[in-house]
This record gives sequence, C-alpha cells and structure tokens, in this order.
Amino acid sequence: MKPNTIRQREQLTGWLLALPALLLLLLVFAYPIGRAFWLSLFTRNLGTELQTVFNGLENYARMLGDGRFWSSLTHSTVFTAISISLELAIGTGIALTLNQAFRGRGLVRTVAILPWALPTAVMALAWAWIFNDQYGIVNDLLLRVGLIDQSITWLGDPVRAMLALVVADVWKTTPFIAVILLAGLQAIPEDLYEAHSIDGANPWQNFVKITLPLLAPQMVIAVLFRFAQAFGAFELILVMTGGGPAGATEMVSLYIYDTVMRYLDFGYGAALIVVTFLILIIAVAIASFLISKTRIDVTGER
Amino acid sequence: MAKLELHNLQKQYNPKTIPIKDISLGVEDGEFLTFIGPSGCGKSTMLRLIAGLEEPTQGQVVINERTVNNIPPGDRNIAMVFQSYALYPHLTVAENISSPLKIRKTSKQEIQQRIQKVIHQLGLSESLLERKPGQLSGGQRQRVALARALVRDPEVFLLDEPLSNLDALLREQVRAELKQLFKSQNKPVVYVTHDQTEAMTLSSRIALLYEGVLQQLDTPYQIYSYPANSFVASFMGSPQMNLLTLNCQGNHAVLGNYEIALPELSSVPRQIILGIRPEDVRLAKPEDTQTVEGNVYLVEDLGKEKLLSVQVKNSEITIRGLLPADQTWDEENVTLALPARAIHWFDLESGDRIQAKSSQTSVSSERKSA
Repeated sequence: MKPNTIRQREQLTGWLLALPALLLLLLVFAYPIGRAFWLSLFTRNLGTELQTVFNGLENYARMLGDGRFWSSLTHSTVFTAISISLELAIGTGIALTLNQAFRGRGLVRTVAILPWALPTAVMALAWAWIFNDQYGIVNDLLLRVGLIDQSITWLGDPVRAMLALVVADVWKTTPFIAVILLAGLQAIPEDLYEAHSIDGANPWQNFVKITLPLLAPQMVIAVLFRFAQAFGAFELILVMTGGGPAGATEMVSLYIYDTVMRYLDFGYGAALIVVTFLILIIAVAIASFLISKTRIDVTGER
Repeated sequence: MAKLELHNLQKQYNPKTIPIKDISLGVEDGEFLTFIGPSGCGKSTMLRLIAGLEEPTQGQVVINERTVNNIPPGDRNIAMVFQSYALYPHLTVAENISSPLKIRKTSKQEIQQRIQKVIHQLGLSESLLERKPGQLSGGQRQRVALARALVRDPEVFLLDEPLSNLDALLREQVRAELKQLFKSQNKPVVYVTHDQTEAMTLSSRIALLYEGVLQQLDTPYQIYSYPANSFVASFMGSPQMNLLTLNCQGNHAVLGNYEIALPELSSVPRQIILGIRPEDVRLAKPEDTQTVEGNVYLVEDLGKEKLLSVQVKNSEITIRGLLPADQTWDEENVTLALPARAIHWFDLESGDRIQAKSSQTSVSSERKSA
C-alpha cells in the first residue's frame, strides 16, 4: 500500500516515529502488569512446592479475609493522607516565600531542593538515628528544652513510629511540591494581583481569590505524583522501622514484598499487586478528571 | 467633586534609576489628562504611583485634599484599566465586573443593578456575563476591563494604554467611545499612552514626559502649535517636524545658499535649531519671499497627501514637505516656501523654544495651575 496523499504520508510517518516508544511501553508496562494479573489467578507457593496451580479468583477471596492486608492498606492510607496534607501546606508556604524577591533567593532555592536530591535509603538511615531513643538528637533536644523528663522510644511505639515516618517523608518530599508550586506561582501574572488590590482586596483575599484558584492545577498534579509515591513508599519504611513495631507501620508495599520474597507466595503476592495497582489507577483517574475540570475552569489567557 | 493633585512627585529605585523626577500637576473633575512619552519615560510609573502600586520616594499624591501616600490602592477609591486588562481568568465576566463591589460587601441586589447599568452603558451583551475571559474577543475583554472600572463609580480613573492591544480599526472606534464615556463620567481621568493620535484626540490636556521630567503640560492645540522645546516638537506631530541645525549670520540663519530671517533676539547665537512641520511646507508661489530650492529624492504617497523629501541645494540638509495629492511639480527640482509664521526656533543647547519678542504670545504651560 503506497501512501498517496500528504495526510496519509504524515500519518504513516507519525506511526513509524511513535512505534519504538509504543513497543517500549508494551514491554515494560503492559507485559509485567498483564503477567501479574495472570499469575494472580494461580496458586504458586511453598504449599504447592512452587508449582503453578490454577485457582480462579481464590487469591482475591483470601484477600478479603486477610487482616494483615487490610491493616497494611490502612497504614498506607494514613501515612499518605497525613504526609501529603502536611507537604502541600508546607510546600505552598515555601513556594510563596521563594516567589518573593529577596537577597540570596537563588541560594535558598538550591538549599531547599537538597533533601529531594538525597537517596531515600541514606536519609532514612539518618532519620532512624535522629529518632533513636538513646542517641537520637530529637530526644536530646526535647530533654534540653525540658518538654520531656526521660528519653522516649520513638520507633518502638506504634503511633510515634508512624509520626517519625511522616516527619521524615515530609522533610524529604516537601521541596518537590514546593518546586512544582513555585513554577505555577511564577506563571500567575503580577497585574492580576495589582488589579485585585485596586479592587480593594487585602493580601489574604489576594491569596484566596487569585493564588489558590490559579494554582489549583499545579496542586492537583503535585498531589497526584506524591500520592503514587507515598502509597508505594518502601525504602523509607524498610530502613526506618521495617514495618514495626509489631507490624504497626507495615505498608502495602512492604507486605507485598514480604509475601513474595519471604513467604515465596507468588500467586497471592501477584493478587495483592493487582489490587494495589487498581487502587492507584482509580485514584489517578479521579485526579486526572479533576485536572481536566480545572483546565476548563481556567480558560483565561493561560 | 474630585481632584487629583501631584506635589513634587519623585520616584527613585537607586541613585542611577530615577524614573520620575519632581513632577507637580493637578487634574480636575471632567478633565482628561494624558501622559505621553517614549518608552521608558516614566509614564507608566506615574500611573502606578497614583494608583498606590508603588510608593513615591518624595512628594505627595493628593486626592480630594487628602494625601494618599500611605493609603493602600484599594482604599484610594480609584479604578484602573490595565494594558493587559488583567481580567481574572478563572472568573466569569459577571464575577470579574462585580469583584470590586463584592470586596466592598455591596448587597447582591445592588451589584446586579450596577452590572446591568454598566453593561448597558458599554454595549456588552448579557449573554457574555457567564463566559470566561478566555472565551471573549480582544474588544470584548477590553470592555469588560472598562466595565470593572466603571462599576465602582470611583473618584479617579486611571487607564494604562487600554487600546494598545486592539487592531487599528477597532482602536479608532473605541477611542471615540471612550471620549464620550468619560465625558459623561465627569471625573478626573489619567490616561497613559505612547500613541500621539490617542493623546491628541482624547485629552483635554497632555503631559509630555521624557526621562522622568515633564516637558510640557498643555492642551493638544498648544502642544502642537507651540511646542515648549525641540523634543516636544519632534515627538508630537506626524510626519515629524523638520528640525534643522543651522549656522547664524547677522540676523539670519543660513540654509544652504539661502537665508532665513531670525526672530528678534537679544543676542544672536552661533547656531540655532529651525523647526517647521511638513504640513506647513508648501511649493513656492511667485510672491513668497522665504524659499529654498532643492532636489526631490523621495516621494511617499499617503493617498490624500504626498510626502516629499527634498535635499536643499548646496547643503546636506533635507526638508520634508506634505503636499496635496493633486499638486504637481517638477520631478527633480522644487522650490519650497517656508512661511515665517510657521517656523519654530529652538535653542541649540537647551532645546528650549525661543520666543520671538514681537510675534505670537505663547500661553505658558503654567497657565492652568496659576
């Protein structure tokens, strides 16, 4: 078939150029996901001597009664919700500050992004020491200030361990949100603020009526990225608490890891992966829908 | 009743950047004052100082006898139309227009009434009210921006090049509408533009700024007829005024082989600037006394007129003349008349207008404030 019109020729070129990327996507995304889904329909563990035995949806039925799965899901949700809320609030504050002109702004911007650039495992190790009950600097500071009388076991207490994880995660990923929001802030024309203050608005009204609505698309994008990351948080938890104490900070990702790599329950592990994947996909779909909504709302000159 | 006064206003960013250097003037009710000047002359800074978006380094902005230097923009009761219109992209037209009223906690009912009144005044269709600015044409956006200013019923209107984003045809139409509109408002209007046609047609007075200094503050007629210095002369009027630097001899200025009579001066300088508008230059008739002969090297046909560029015989100097389209002349050589009463003289050093003792009594630029 020979292309005869310019349009057909352009379409052909387009497909040819897109082909390598499409193949790569199929290979690294579609295939593993499809394979996991396929495996989730089988039992393959030490009980079957690692033989693959078809069981239909039995793995999914098992999941419903698996208390450890549900508690890990809860932990992930709590961890994600609290860290993202804090990161969004603090990140907005940092972005607003960095958006102001002041001496040394370039330096501060660079320093602010540093935590994001650190390897998670390294900084998790550091935070584990910071929260160490005997040698940790947190206890030391609190003792000196006089807020506590004796050292607290941070990582040995269910609630405090979760708190420590949130603090470490917020410290590391707030800069990411701040940078995305900063880019959004810089795209808001200055004269909108000027017009609004001539209209009689005070700085707070400027923030609520101009900054927030015009920054909403960037906020949704940042939260979306962070949601996917926080929900799948792994190294941080593994290094800092290992899911402990007594599974109190075990997240979905950690549970899946244990199921597959420690208990060698491949079929069930695959089913866990599929469900987690679906939860993430649904959340992302909702967020994308919200983004498209805000795009329609923000049909200005932007 | 409203009155806007500026007393010795100065704005300085650093010792080298002084966009506004000591400017004083007053604008009364119903007066339309235009700041005009080349880019970087400080005209937009002027507007921002009046609006309160920037604080003057020295001097006072006074609205209705009240010094507003320390009063935030929202409490000055002024309205401003931005060059970019600065419409809120996420709000509908109705929300955009009502923004200043909502912030002032005006009742819903009154907001409705005032929106209706203002869109009627500006000929904005009601169907646009629920649209977002992004869905409007340039002309419609401009009107919405005007509506947002008018709906407040402010004491002073500030307009920053509101027509510069419209295409030429629309601009002319909106210009005429603006003039009517603000005439009916009867409030002080301060307008900033770099377009001299806008300044001429709209203003009751024009303030010409250059390098932060007020060059002349006068009616359009005065500015055109009696420019205070050679800069004003060259800036206002199109095509540009001919400005020729000539040597003086006795009581004549020397132009090639020709002598142009100088006005009566207390002392004759070595050199002087002669200014004559192209529209005042015409082909010489036998009875003309002051003529120059030259070589036509360029003819620009403007349709209703022809713009001739003529090199004066035995000199490097060129003169441009605007001739009626139906006039004919010898293609190569023409003799141009330079009528004495159309000639402006400027001092070479200061650029200031040299006033002949006997002829034309100029009206001082301070006339109004005095």
